[in-house]
Amino acid sequence: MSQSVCIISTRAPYSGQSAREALDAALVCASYDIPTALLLMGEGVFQLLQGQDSRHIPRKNISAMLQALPLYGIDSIYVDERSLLERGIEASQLCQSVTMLSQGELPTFIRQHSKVLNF
Amino acid sequence: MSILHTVNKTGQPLALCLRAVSSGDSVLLIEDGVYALMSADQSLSMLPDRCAVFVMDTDAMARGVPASVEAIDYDRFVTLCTEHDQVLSWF
Repeated sequence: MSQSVCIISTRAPYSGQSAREALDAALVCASYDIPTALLLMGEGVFQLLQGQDSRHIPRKNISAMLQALPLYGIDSIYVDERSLLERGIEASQLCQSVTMLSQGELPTFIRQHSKVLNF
Repeated sequence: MSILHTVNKTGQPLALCLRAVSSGDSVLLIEDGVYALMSADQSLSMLPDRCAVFVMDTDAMARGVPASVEAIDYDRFVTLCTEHDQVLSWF
């Protein structure tokens, strides 16, 4: 299997440093030209909500960082569709377009990568 | 290609693990993840076929949770890590 990395991010954007660390890991992998996928699951899908203004917390805006990923060669963000449904989030509320993964597709998707890291 | 999934809490970590697991993978319950074995928790019944479930014996004993799946020690944990292609932590 050729080298590829899947980064799973499962925490809300400003809950500790997990979301930021997942993004940093994805950017590092991509900067070494390793094919990298970012998969948001559970509370991690809150990172995609549009309209985030984190200046007053004060923290770096996670959704802005997500939108910068294509510059680093990470063209697609993958999302567990069920995690969106459970939270009543619709595609129109997201800050960018994503690739939805259904319950049936998820295990296969994860297995396609030679390394999987959970944040 | 097989994955050893470690789960250290019920709730979101266990729920997301169960979505990600494939047939042929193994699940190891550690720390507060052992509470998934309490009889009212039906989560593990959703696992696909040919998925082995293990529990860390010291964690289950410490919490007074009866080990209704195969209980393992740290030596066996190390062996399990080598028997799978990857280890994925859900926490």
